[in-house]
Amino acid sequence: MRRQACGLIALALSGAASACGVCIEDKVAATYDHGVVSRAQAEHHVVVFAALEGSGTPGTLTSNARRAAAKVRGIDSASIRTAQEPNPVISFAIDPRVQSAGAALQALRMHAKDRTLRITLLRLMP
Amino acid sequence: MAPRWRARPPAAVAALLLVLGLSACDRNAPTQATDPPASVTTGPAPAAAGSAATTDDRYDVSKMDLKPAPAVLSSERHTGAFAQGSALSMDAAVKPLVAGQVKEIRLDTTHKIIEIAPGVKFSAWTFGDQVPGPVIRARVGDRIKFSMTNRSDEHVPGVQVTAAPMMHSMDFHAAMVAPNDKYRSIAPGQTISFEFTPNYPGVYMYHCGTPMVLEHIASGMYGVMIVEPRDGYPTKVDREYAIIQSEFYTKLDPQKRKIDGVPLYVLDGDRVRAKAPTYTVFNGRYNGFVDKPLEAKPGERVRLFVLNVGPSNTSSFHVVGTIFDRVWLDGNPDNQLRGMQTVLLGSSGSAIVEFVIPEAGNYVMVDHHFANASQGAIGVIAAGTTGGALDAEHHNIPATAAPTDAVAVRGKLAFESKCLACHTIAGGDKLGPDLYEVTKRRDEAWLTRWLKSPEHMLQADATAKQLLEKYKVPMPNQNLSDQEIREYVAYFRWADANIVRQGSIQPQPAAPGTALPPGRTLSAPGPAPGAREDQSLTDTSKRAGAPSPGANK
Repeated sequence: MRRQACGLIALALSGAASACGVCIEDKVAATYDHGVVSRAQAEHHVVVFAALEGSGTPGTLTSNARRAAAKVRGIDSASIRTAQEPNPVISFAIDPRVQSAGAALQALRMHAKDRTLRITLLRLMP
Repeated sequence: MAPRWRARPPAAVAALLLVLGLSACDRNAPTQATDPPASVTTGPAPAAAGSAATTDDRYDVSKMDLKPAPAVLSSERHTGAFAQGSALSMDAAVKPLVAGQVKEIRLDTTHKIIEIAPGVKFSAWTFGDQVPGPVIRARVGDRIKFSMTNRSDEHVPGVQVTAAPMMHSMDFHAAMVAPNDKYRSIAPGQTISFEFTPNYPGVYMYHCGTPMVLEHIASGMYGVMIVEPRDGYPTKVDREYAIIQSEFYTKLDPQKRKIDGVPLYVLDGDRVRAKAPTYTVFNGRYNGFVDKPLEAKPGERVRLFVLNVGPSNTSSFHVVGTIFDRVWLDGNPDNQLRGMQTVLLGSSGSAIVEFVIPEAGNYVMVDHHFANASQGAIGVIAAGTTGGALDAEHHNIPATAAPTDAVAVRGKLAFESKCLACHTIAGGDKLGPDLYEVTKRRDEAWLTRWLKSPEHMLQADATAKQLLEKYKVPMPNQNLSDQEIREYVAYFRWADANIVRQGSIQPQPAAPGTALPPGRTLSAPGPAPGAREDQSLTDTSKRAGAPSPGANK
């Protein structure tokens, strides 16, 4: 319960998007795909970039998050991108009319079934 | 808005910190003073190194600009030329320092196809639309006003073969700024602007710092910034050139795309991580200054601003035929060495080297790690010569028209690096035979056996024995792989079909129309420093984001 609360707090504070050791833009750049961003813009969708932290290896974190993201309503599964370096990050395009970025990240975390997973919103594009 | 005290401490506190800081500097200051160089010809003598207490201390931190304004990010994109600013030099010949304390510099990022070696078209990422990026020249205390638009989403007319648009950034080693502010990555279409003041003299690298940094640098996003001492250099020279060594890690495009019939090469991620480059070059070009030597005259004093970009290997920079009178490590005259034969430079390491041209001749610049030299880190300073007839012993040869077949290209480059000391193609016999029309004299199986194991052939093969009897020098075993042998044979076959014998110059030019000249393609003119003068690039209707492959889909 306490860990869940920590996770939610991390999500709640994500507006500040404070990076840990590496610039936010650097993390964003790791999964930036111009095609995804351009398509999202044309479809009035939003691309969400988020950092992943937890007890697993970077590979485990990103693969779990990728699987979980594919189950979240509103996320375009073809747009999901992950990177393990320089830090684990995930990005995806979402239709904001289905649900907000924050709600989608909470749903992603629930689907991931990893109680140690913490997700920090880094940036929304466009 | 943050409270004022957070942004700027009260003056009294600042003054106290300054006093404490200076006291600490005094305690740490070296006790010995450095004498100025004995034979300085012009300019002021360097001040005593490390004497923080003196009023003219050039390293007085309290006089440095350490409070740059925040960077500004916008969605207004630059159009027109990709590089602008009077402080920029677009090639190796460095322009003198321009007057004025404020220097406005614009370097936009682009994705374009460059030619690393004859016939080797590489999908590069650039600053200012060239690799390396333009040379920036300023001096300590200048105000640099920098701006950059990420224009990686613009493409040249024709088939889209460049990499997908991506985020980029700029990291100036010459600046003292918060990297998370000034060096942040920007998306295609965004523009970042920031200012800084160079506080230390030096020869500094600039590069893209966006992850994966290794890939961004290996793809061509680097350049050099020269920061002169506030009072100029203490010596006077006749020539100034910037030499930028870097590595390329190439592989054939997995999609087998071609540029005007020539195979496209892309970054080989495995080679990058293994630190196994395919080319190590000066100023972005295999044997570039062999093709177009730098000029000097006998008796002149030459200053080279040398930067080893890497991204991963070192350089042992040497100029054959002279000795570095002065070496200023990292480009700072206070870091002076005298009478050096080579200067060792790690990745992003630099030096200013000065030397005198003793007599007319071709002075070969080389990375004395000769494995690097054989990959193209060769250049020539032609002093009182045309630079055409060069000494093959140092593996320096002018570039010629290139085969369009990738296998033959590799054979050509290998031949020109390793074989010209003993052989020519249509240039006459040397220690060994002229290999012109060798594929007509010998069949491929014989050539393969000969290249693979000449010592065995010399024992049993009649033709091989005849060759030894005629030339007296046995062909050495070069330990070639089967693939390398195929490349040599492919080149010999191409040469026999395309070379036109014209005197003894090596290598011989190709027959008209059989190959593209180096540095040129049908759709992309050769590296024209400065700008891609194509007005369509400024037409927003022609900008388009290419489909992105997405490395981690």
